[in-house]
Amino acid sequence: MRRYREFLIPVVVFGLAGFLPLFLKTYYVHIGILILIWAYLATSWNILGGYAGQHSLGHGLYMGIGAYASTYLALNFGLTPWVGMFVGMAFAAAAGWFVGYATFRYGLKGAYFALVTIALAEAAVYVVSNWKAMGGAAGLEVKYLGTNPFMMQFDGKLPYFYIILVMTLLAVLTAQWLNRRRFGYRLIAVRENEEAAEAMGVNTLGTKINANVLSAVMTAAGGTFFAQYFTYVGPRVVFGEMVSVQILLFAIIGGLGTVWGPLVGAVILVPVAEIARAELGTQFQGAHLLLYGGVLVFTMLFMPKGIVGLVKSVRSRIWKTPDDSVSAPAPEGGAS
Amino acid sequence: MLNVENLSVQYSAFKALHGVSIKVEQGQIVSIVGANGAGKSTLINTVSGLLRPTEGSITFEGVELTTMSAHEIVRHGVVQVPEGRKLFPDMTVQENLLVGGSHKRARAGRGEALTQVYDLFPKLMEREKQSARTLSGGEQQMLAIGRAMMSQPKILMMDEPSLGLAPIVVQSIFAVVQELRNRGLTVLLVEQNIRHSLQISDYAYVLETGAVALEGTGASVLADDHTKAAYIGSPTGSEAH
Repeated sequence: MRRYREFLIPVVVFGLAGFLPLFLKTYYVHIGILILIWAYLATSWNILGGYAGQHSLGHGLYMGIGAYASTYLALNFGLTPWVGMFVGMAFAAAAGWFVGYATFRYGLKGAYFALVTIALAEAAVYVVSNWKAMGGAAGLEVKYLGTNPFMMQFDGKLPYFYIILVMTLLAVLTAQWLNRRRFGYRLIAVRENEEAAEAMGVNTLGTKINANVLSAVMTAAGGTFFAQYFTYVGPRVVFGEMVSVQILLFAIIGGLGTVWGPLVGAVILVPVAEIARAELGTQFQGAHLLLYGGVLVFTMLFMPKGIVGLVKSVRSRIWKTPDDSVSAPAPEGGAS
Repeated sequence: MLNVENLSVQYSAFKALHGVSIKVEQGQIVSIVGANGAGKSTLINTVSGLLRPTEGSITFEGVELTTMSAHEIVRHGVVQVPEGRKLFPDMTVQENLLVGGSHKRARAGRGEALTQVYDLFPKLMEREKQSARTLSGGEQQMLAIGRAMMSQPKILMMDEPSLGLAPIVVQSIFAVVQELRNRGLTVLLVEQNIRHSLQISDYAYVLETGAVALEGTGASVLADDHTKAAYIGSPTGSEAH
């Protein structure tokens, strides 16, 4: 039983969150959905970016693949997005494998890896913009059918809320599961010291590629949901740099490489950004972007481990548990 | 057991090793000693597969390692304790150990290996849940050795295990090296602490500017005039002048 206890907390938290929309106005349910979309995407990104330490700045690529695959198949073949989602995930797996192999095989790291991922996502924007079958620059509209659970379409917001709630719960459970699995240890070992990991028998290339594939597959499923909820996909909307940047923003601010960080980041930041957009949107367009930038700079300077990291170190100070936050002699010790 | 033949390694313009041949037999402690920059770490890193030789071959129990990738070499039982420990600082002691034992061959006997490591280093068991960065220098070295043991090596290659440690801790690390040998492990030891490592070695090689300058049993290398003059200095002579 003890093995499953760590999974109980997310289930309870998400179960309680499931009651919230019953007391909230539609507009707030919409904000709840936005929070969950970004929490889901950021949690998916976090597996590669936070756990394995490979900062992809082009996750829009996988989100776009998921969004376009299900939408295209629904429009042209009447395929239900519930299946289209898995088709998109399969394509994203292939793309994730290719991107991972093409970059990691040649030892790209840090800023170089990030630059290549930006370039690939940006290339996808232009490819799709010029691809007639994909609607070109105008994008694709999800055909409106009224409430139709089979086609993942609903008139109200509640069903969407519960779908993305369950998806985010699954993503958080995946992150929690990785925390205690060999694969998760390998990811963190790669982040902490890649050469040492390789010297300890970890196949670092394979580990990084697998992390990219898992992260891409999860992100693509978010893309399908995104398309169904907004009933529209456009090249810049799903493949664009705003998507790629926001995905990692919530993970970094919430706490890189933690189970709850991406969710906490989204819960705090999305409502603030939405209020800024709603209140200041007309006089001061892009106010929420300025806000994102400001918060990111603040986080980097004053709490590099994010909100969750800060809470952890405060807690360990209060309870006087073995203090991990105080920097002791670095393990790299000695000259090299 | 481990056979390195005519190994040459080059860093772009600089040739770090030229034609080095060494042999390690089962159950021995073999030392590679020499000054800074003599090529000791290069040799270990090439055997580990982290560097590629331009010439020569490396075989272990008859298996060719020369072109194998580093993680595959570990699976064949050739494992290194890297210079400067290179632990995973934000992981706990136990997690560091588990990463060491995460490859396929090691997985089966992981519980047993963990017991062995804790038996050898009871301190690590006490600190099981602490993150590696909070350990003292000596404990970090113990963890690095323990982590390597988790992958169930047949030969352990230790790169400067005494580096940056207090003399009394250095003593205990050398005691551990001997204990590992007594438990049946083969050890290839790279050290700048020449006198100490030669004392516990069955065989030793002195590397100078990328080539073997001298080899022999630990005692004979220690007694050699050249070694004495270049690395150790006579214990009485220096103060007289």
